[in-house]
Amino acid sequence: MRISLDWIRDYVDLPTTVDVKELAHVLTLKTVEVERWIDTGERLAHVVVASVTDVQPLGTRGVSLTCDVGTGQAVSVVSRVAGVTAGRVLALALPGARLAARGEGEQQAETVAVREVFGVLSHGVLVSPADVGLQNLFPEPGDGLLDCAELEVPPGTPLATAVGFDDWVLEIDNKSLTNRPDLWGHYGMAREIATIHGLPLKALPGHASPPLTDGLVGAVDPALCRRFTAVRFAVDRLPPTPMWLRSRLARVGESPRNLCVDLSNYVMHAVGQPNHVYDAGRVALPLSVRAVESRTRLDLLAGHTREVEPGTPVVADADGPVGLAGIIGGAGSGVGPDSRTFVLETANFDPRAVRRASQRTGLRTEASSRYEKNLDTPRIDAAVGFFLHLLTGAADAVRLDGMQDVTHVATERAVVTTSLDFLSARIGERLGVAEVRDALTPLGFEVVGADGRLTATAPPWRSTGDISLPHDIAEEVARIRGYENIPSAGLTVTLNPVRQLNARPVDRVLREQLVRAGMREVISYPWTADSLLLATGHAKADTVRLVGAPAPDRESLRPSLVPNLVETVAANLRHQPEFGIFEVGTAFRARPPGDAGDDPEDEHLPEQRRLLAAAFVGADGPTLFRRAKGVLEFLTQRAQLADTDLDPVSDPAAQRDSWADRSACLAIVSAGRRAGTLGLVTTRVRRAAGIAGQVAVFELDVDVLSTYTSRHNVHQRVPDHPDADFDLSLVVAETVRWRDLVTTARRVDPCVHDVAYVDEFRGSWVPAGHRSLSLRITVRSAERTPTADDIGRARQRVLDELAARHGAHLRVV
Amino acid sequence: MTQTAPLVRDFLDRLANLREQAMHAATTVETTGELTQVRRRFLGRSGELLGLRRTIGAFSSADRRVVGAALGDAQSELERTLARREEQLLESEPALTGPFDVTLPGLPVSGGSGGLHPTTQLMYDLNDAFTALNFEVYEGAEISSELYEFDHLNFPADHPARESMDTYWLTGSETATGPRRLCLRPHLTGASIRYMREHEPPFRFVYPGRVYRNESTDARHERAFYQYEVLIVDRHVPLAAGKFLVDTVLDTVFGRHVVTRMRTGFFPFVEPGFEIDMLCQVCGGQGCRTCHQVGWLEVMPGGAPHPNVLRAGGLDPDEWTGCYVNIGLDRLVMMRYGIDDVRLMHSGDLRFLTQFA
Repeated sequence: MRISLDWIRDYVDLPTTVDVKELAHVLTLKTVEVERWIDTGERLAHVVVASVTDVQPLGTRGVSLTCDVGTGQAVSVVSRVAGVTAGRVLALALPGARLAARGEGEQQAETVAVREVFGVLSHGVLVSPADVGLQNLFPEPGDGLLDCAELEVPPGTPLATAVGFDDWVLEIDNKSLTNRPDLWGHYGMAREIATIHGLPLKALPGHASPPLTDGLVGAVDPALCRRFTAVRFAVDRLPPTPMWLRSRLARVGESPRNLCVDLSNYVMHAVGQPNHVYDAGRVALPLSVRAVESRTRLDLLAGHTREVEPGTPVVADADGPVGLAGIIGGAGSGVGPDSRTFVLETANFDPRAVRRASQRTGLRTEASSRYEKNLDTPRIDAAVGFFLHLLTGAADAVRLDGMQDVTHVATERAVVTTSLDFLSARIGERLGVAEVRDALTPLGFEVVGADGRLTATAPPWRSTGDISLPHDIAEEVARIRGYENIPSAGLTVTLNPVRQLNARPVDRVLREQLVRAGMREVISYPWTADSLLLATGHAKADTVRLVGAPAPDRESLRPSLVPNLVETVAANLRHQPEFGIFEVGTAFRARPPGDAGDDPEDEHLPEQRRLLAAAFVGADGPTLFRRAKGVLEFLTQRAQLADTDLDPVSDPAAQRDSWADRSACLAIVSAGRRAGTLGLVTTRVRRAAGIAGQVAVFELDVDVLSTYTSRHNVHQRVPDHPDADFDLSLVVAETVRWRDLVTTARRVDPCVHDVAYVDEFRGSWVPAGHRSLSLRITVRSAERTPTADDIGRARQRVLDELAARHGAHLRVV
Repeated sequence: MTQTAPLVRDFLDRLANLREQAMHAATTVETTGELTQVRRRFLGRSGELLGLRRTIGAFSSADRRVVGAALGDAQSELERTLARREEQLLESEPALTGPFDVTLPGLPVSGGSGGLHPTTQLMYDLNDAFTALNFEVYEGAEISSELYEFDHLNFPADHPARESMDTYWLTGSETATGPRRLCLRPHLTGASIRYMREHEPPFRFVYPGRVYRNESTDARHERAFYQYEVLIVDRHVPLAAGKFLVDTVLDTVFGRHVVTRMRTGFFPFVEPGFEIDMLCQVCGGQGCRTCHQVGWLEVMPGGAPHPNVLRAGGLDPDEWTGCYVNIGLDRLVMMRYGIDDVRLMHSGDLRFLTQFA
């Protein structure tokens, strides 16, 4: 919404020293958010009113003019308009002025400079209304020149001053106004500004009510309309709207039309009360308010046509609908240049009814957005009085034939009872009755206090829902006194044990340890592409889906982090060939529809699991797999995960992890429960994501992991004697797993302290179906440094046992 | 006719032969690589079926229809079979062709260039600051219901945020209401009701998390973004507590004191409500593009929980009061690091992410 400071000054004597930026700041702090402040005169800089004193023709091409611009020094200007005569008063753009682009926008705005035209120096440009953005204010002139005679100002007057554009307009964020119907007009905003500055608010001019009469208003449906008034008046000849009024309308974004429509808009922008003027000759009185019974086609103002549904509220005359109630008038009943008799409708429509109709018809107007906020009924009297005041001032011989007022419900003033203790505690400073009264009275409240109790009676314009609780009173007092003046206070702390001190957030520990392992955290959207869902073995029908999804093929919420992680891998592969990334996030799975149950608040939410997934990208599959496994082992240790195992899996798809390839896949098990999967990603998934190389992934369910409640490492005595080690190179069948060899070797002899992997080899001299494995065995003894005998005996026992149990034999090179 | 009939028969024989060969090859290939070769051999630009097609120009138009149809049948049958086989191969073709022992030990971690997402970094910095002030860190569900996200939070029944153009509702709950109308949570505040119901007052807790809005994205708007919300509930919580919470947040983020202003604001779930703006850190309050020439940036709305919200949380509003503060986490991250496009946060682009240690 736009608020003109010049208009506000009609109602508050704001000192001229008030700075607009400062005003915007305090209004933002205390009342509504001011998004911008606009100098409406800026566009008219260097444009002045000029009087033509002499005209010399320049052949057939134009004229050379001498203009008086009030400086005492005549200015010579060349114009292509041949018909200009001496004595004309026109708008002249002097050097430095900026003119709007002419034609259809392909040209840039133009800055006026001294130029030679037809061989004569021209010190300015005569402008049209459109050149300076005033086409709303001046009718399109025949010769294209903005004529200033009507303005009756001396030559040299800046055009901005002459048309009242030496003004500031505040642009208010409408969202910050939704709860304040009283602020949807200049008078309400003036009340706030007056209160903030401690200045009196002037009364809104009014007019005596016309005599009451019948026959203007018929049946008014109380479900749709609380109050409906109509005033019938006649004017023999509608004069043009005064310039000051047109100018104000233009500054707040309205286009002036004719006196009746302009007054109607002006009253709405002043009082916040929508209203409508009908040509009384084009409606069959009385007017009524009702819901249409069947689908009805309505031709509305501004060329809108709507086929409205049954139940839509309309204003109707004896012949049928003449407007969409509270939204927009009908096309056939509006005021035209020949109108002589009029009906002014000023009503209070039900906010819900207007809102519904506005949504259904897709018509949102200045009127509907005000009605939706829930207006008070007494405001109608202010609006009608102000309209008649302006009308009788602008037109001669206005005949007020009569008024009819149908009131079903009148807004009752809200009364809130509270206490000084409550207000003081909520606001955070000690307040007396006088302080509360000082804050509230200028806003229209009446405050009565005794013995610490307070009764605040809200004005009607704050009584339609905005003010109803003691908390609302606290807010009013706090904002007017100023949030910025509330002392910032620490809190008195009660040391309750608010959290389990030994429970560390496991997701955070996992994240931080993954970072230490060189992994980079990514965050992806929760919705997943259908193609990757399919490739990872998830049926779309089993997923949780969104209405109005970001893309038609991304309706499903991810049942696993893997699809999106793989997609992120593919995107990054364009820039680098090798990296490791991870994500911690929620995965979603639909629950089968259950019974509604007895609990009316049972939400039956889908399954939401916190998962962690990591991806390792590069060329060699086995290396990536082992890198991923190394990180997983590191995590187990560093995140103090209890009882974690990695078990070979023969059929990953059966575990709903079809992204994992059966040639390289392990189940992650925590305390006997399946916590996740480690594996190379299948060719199918890589193909779907467009990845050429290999990708190793692990995904685990964070909430299945069991963690030690404290660090679990146990001290082992540091050996007194050095260890010894030796390597063994064995040939074993492919079916023999490393893990089995290690388990066997460790059990062979108490002095075998550790068995480590060195490398493996498959090739020419190794028999088919076999591999060569090198392992390093560490020997430790509590009594002495291991001797050659100790080592030899351990070596032989390990070899014997591995041969007996696993068919391993020493490699013979 | 008598002349051309043998030609037709000859063509159809050759086609049947070729078809048999192709189908055999298509059903017996063992790798996707072989499959590509089969496809090329029979269906490719210089493939055998196409070679056969080139000869049909010699037939009369009636015969051409017969052989053309047969050729088309063979072609589409082969295409279908190849597609089916490709599916099977993709299912069964292993990622590794050679043997691999999955029980081999993992490689030692290399460390180096790891890092948390910048949003996570800030979230943890704030968690640390608030835990030092004896706050609990809580987490609510990302899928929630109209009951918790709107009804319990005092949103009027016809509030526009309930429309599907603002909130991501779940398929299947379109016609439901209250607890059965499910959505991706549009804000964190619903989680505070869950917490209030699960705990005994007084309490003070923070609940960071991701929220979702159905809107179009640009450099300043995202469909998924992070918020950080703080709630204190106690017997006496003045509005001034909000300032204290905000100072805690901003000092943590920027490592120095940041000038703020507290102003009136309206949200259905608070009464009174406020908004806190910070002095634009780009221009120091002079007015610039970042702050739209205003000199201030909106960072945190908040206020005292509306009595209806406390009631929904199972608390007596005459006894308990409190203070909410809600922070747009991504926005603070952007200000902390000078990031100018919110969409980078969800991009997963390592060129962006690796900038944050």
